[in-house]
Amino acid sequence: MILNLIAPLGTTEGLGIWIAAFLTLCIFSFLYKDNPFYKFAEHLFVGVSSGYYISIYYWNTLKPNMIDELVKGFKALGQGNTQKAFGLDESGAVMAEPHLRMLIPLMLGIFILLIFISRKNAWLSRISFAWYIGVASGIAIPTAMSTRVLLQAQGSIRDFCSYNSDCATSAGLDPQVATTALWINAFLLLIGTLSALAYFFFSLPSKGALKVMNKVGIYFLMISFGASFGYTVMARISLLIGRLQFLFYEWLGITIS
Amino acid sequence: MIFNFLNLMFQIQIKEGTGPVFFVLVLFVAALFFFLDKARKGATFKIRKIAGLDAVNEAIGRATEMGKSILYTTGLETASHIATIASLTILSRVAKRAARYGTRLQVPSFDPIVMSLSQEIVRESYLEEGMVDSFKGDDIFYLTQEQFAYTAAVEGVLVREKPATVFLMGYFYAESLLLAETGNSIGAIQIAGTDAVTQLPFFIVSCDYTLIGEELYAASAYLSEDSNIISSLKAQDFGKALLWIFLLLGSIVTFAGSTKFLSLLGAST
Repeated sequence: MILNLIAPLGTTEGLGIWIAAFLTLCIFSFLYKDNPFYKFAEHLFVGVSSGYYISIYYWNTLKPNMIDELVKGFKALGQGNTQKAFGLDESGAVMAEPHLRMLIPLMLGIFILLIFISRKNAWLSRISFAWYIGVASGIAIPTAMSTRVLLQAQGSIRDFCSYNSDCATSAGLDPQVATTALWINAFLLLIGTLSALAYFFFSLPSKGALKVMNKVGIYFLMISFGASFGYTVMARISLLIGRLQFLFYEWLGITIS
Repeated sequence: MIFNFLNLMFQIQIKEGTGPVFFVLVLFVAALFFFLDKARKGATFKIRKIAGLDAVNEAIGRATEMGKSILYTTGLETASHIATIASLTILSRVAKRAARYGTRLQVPSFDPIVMSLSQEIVRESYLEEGMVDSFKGDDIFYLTQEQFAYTAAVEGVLVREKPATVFLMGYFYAESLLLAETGNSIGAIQIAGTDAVTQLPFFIVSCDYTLIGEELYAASAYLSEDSNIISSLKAQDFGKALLWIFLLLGSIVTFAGSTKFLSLLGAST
């Protein structure tokens, strides 16, 4: 083990390492208890990240999508080109650039701000929220149905083809991989899926066969949670190792040779 | 004939990717209207006990008795996420109880839109309970959209305010265990709910009650005790029962060497 010089404070890089190491230790101090160092790092982290995101939103979203479009739209309006101002071409077709059509989202945004500005008119914010939730649900629900239900169902059924080589080939499975072991795996997967799904029947009383299935379902769920827990803990430990490596190697300059 | 009809519906998916989803959603909406109609005609639906949701009232009561606050977080996703929407509906029920008992409710938010929504929802709940004067907008506050800065700040609130009850409802990432462990360390009763499969184990080991996936979606209807709303739960169960039958039949048919069900789902055949 060789102990080199601690990162030099005189250089920009060295100063950065010292600040990072200090803040890392401040956050780690929470393991003991809440203290002024942790409070300092916490507030700094929240403040810096908020400022960073405000800047990101302004330059990446608000300016190009809203301000620039409105400026272009009002310029076109000033030149007497009403169609272009509202993002329509000469034939009246909708162009990709919305220009003054952005007044609608601007208005919806102002409605939300009314909550903080005018309690009397705050009810208008509900229009914005209704729009947002409606559009968001419209996008999220079909996507969830496709990825979480249909594709999962497909994946659960597909491996049963491995029992039959013709079926396996036509289902896109590699016949070399399509073995009896795969079929047994598919069978276990089916039992697990059906029993876990049965656990989430809320309107049926847990009696008789359903009770047995619920119990099997819970066992399957807990086994999968256990496996997931172990896997994720390993990943978290690697994050801790990364931070310790930074402290020992980059800050303290300790290297193992 | 049924196969041909199903095939026709599912063929659309192969070309445009929307057929099966559309078909399933139509079925689900039809079931929803059917059960809603039954509820309006006076039918009552029974729901099995969900321990995590039964504990909600108990947890709010505990905070009231101890004279401490409740901390509710809607997770780290935007309002477009299904888990966040489910969380906001539960927040409404929790806020009503908190308003009725005069218990302080704090909602640190990750997303500014979710914060605004939370404020409106909590305010509305206080209004419904006739306690709008007790509503404090500042208790529903925005922190930051940086994952671990948000986590650090919520941990700070937890150790300083020491709420008696903590609700962790919504979508969470790597911060789940950090939040739940800190809540555990201050002795708060914790009820978590998420559909983030990788985070569920952490909540299960460190929280008193955990709503697993679908239980989070069912929470709003369950807590409402209103037949009209519970009818949506019945429709969900109908959808799950259909899927259950589809999986069983599909597996048998596929095991017999047919790829018909795989074709229906658009698998390469």
